[in-house]
Amino acid sequence: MSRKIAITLGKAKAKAELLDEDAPKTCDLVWNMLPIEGKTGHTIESGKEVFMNLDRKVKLVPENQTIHEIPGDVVIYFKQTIPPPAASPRPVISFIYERDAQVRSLHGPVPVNLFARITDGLKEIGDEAVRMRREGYQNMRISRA
Amino acid sequence: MRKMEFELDGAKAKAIMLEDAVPKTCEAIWNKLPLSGMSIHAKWAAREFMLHLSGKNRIILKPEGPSAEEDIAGTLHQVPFGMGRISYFFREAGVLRGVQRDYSPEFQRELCEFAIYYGHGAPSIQDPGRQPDPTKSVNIWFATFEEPIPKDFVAKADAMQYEGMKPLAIRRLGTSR
Repeated sequence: MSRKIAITLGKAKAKAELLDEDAPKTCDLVWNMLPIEGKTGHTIESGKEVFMNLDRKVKLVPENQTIHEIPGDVVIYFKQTIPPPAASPRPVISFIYERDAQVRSLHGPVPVNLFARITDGLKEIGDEAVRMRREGYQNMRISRA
Repeated sequence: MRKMEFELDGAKAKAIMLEDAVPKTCEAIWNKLPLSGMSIHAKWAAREFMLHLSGKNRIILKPEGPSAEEDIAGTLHQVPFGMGRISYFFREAGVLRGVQRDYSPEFQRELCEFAIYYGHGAPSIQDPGRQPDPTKSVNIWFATFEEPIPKDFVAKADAMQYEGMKPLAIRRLGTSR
């Protein structure tokens, strides 16, 4: 049976299923971090994506990577800072809430580790992402479900 | 030379209109000033935010200056790309992108805005595949920020990705020759 996580953004809650078979190391990495809560924002270069900064060191190996995300994908990767170029990319966990999204840097698509799929509450958490883009973001929380 | 002042949530920056390149556009926009409203950060173009133009602020302009293709070809070699540009942008309903639920209802299909590039980025300009059909859109670079863009102005703009929309006012600063 797959492990599940709960994602809370503002008043909305969603559940996601870890992709243990496709991304076992990444799932273990994230599972062992939980619960986590962090500063949350809307991407400025990738479309319909909300990310949470991970204020910790993360050792990530390429696993189940994609550059063609779809709504409901939950991913982890190193987000490049725009600018300065000298700043190190920072680890983030993000989710895609609608179509018209592709995780990008200024140089094109960025491969991300796809480790979970949202199974419940995608619309609710997407609505909250839209509202917060206008009104401001609160922290996002991810916990074991 | 006409200058404008942009005030974003209390932080100010100055911009110079490109009257030689796009005189009709500059004249039309100058005559609309002052303008104000809530600005929203871009979600594709990196360090850009927009002021959507609705109601009495709505401006409909004809293409002027380089075509989108010429602009892309000419500016791909700029470093840093796009930084400091202020553009007028209009696209018809249904072009390129569909409903944007984070915009006000009147802009969820048609879009009329100032696109304000306050830092590095603008991959949506850089990528011709992400440009709308030029027969159904108008994109005119009509002003450029004076360098350096004040740090507090850039910080306010950056903060919008976490804090949401912020008030923007654009006003005439003066004319000199």
